[in-house]
Amino acid sequence: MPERVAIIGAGYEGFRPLVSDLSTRELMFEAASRAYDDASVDPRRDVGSFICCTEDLWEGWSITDEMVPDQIGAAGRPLCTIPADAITGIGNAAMHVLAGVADVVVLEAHSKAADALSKKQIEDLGQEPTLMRPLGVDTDTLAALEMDGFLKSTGYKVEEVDEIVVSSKRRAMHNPRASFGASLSKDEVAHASAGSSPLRKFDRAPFAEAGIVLVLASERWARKNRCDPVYLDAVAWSSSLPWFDGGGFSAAGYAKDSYSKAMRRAGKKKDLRAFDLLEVDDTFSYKALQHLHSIAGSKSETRRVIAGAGPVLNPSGGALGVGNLLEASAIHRLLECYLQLKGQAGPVQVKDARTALVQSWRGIPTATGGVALLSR
Amino acid sequence: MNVPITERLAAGSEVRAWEDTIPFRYEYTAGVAGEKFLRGLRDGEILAGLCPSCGLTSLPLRMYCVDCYAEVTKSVRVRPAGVVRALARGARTFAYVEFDGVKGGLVHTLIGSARVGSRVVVRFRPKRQRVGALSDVLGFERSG
Repeated sequence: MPERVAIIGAGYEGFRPLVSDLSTRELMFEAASRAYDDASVDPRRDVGSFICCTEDLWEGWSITDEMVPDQIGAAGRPLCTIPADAITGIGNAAMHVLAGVADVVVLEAHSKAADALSKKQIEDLGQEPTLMRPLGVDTDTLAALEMDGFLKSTGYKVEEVDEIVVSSKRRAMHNPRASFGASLSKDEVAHASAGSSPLRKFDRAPFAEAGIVLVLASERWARKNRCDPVYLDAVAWSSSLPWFDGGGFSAAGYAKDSYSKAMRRAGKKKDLRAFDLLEVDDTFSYKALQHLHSIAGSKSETRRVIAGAGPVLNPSGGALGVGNLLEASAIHRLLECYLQLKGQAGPVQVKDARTALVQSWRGIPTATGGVALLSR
Repeated sequence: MNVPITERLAAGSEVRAWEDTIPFRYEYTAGVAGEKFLRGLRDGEILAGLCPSCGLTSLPLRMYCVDCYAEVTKSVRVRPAGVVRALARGARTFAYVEFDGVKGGLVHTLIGSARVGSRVVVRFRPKRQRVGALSDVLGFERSG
């Protein structure tokens, strides 16, 4: 990137399984207000472009973008919604900044998961209608198939998946944004109920609700306005073939590809030791292992990180500990890294954190995800 | 700028919600390649696409090559025997099966027992019961 893009503020609200007192719009309003306060910007004066990552079926509202502007201060201003995760969102925000469309851009995403009473049906609608849906295969079954294929094709042991669950749940005990922290033994994880084996109860992140907003600006604007930002060093996203279309089980092509592109754009050699912490998608436990394996490039490097001999893996507790935040999943990881690099992560703070990697995945049945590199 | 909602709900009795449903119905067009594949099932055949440019044979049957993006107009009959690559065991057991020389595969019900790596065959419904849908396949069963 010719000029870096700065994250100059962040705000959030919720982070509970159920935010019963706020509507979706109010949740967004609260998060946005806090972000604008953190960034010291007036959305009606300073912000040139607003981006919201949202998916109509999860909102229960067709053409959701019509309900977005007011509550984030974007009425009568340039706004677009993207049905994609926030890595794609922050990539679009960076393009707006670097192309000179706007000096300051707002990125919003939220989860009001508890409002969707038919979550399973919404998930099932994600499947291809001719060859997959008629089988009655649900998301857990597809996850179980992928988990089985991944473990069998790579030789990783299910005990290594258990270790990720135990570690994430334990870290989440200390994160005020986490709703699903727990002190579990590997035995409890291994013997939890299974709807579709090998997938077990703790292998899947439970749903949670939150609204999250990031404020981005050009490096020039941030310096001029004396901000103390976190920098977006590079961002990339990619779609690969899903495993059931021949994409294979052993590596997530989208993660590998995004990581390679992001590192190249940042002028870095591919080496996870360049980072102090990683926030990697763990919507399902085995996906954390698969994603880490895909970017680490080898089993030994993956195992080194899991053993704690490299960058800290998911210090927030990840989705397994914080919850599945739907379209806000990737922006949550960006938020955690922003707080870490600012030294504001509280009880889950990684000492002297200067560099972070965020990796996202769009969820079953996709093979779409991205990588963002942050530093301060 | 302060957090602007200063009057927050503080009692469960104040929380209001309403329930609504969204009554969607769709008729999905199978398309040129999709129809060819489904007609193949009706005839007791698994059809894969053969790319004229890079030679890739792939499932599901598509009008374009996933690797080189060339138009795929030719389909080839795949021997309906493959290898189990993954299993999910629940109320029903599902298997993902790949076929020899073909990129991609099919997910379907496992009939009987098998393990990852087992060779299986596609079991079709009796010809008179087939309608040109995925349900023309009963599932995979161990060969030999």
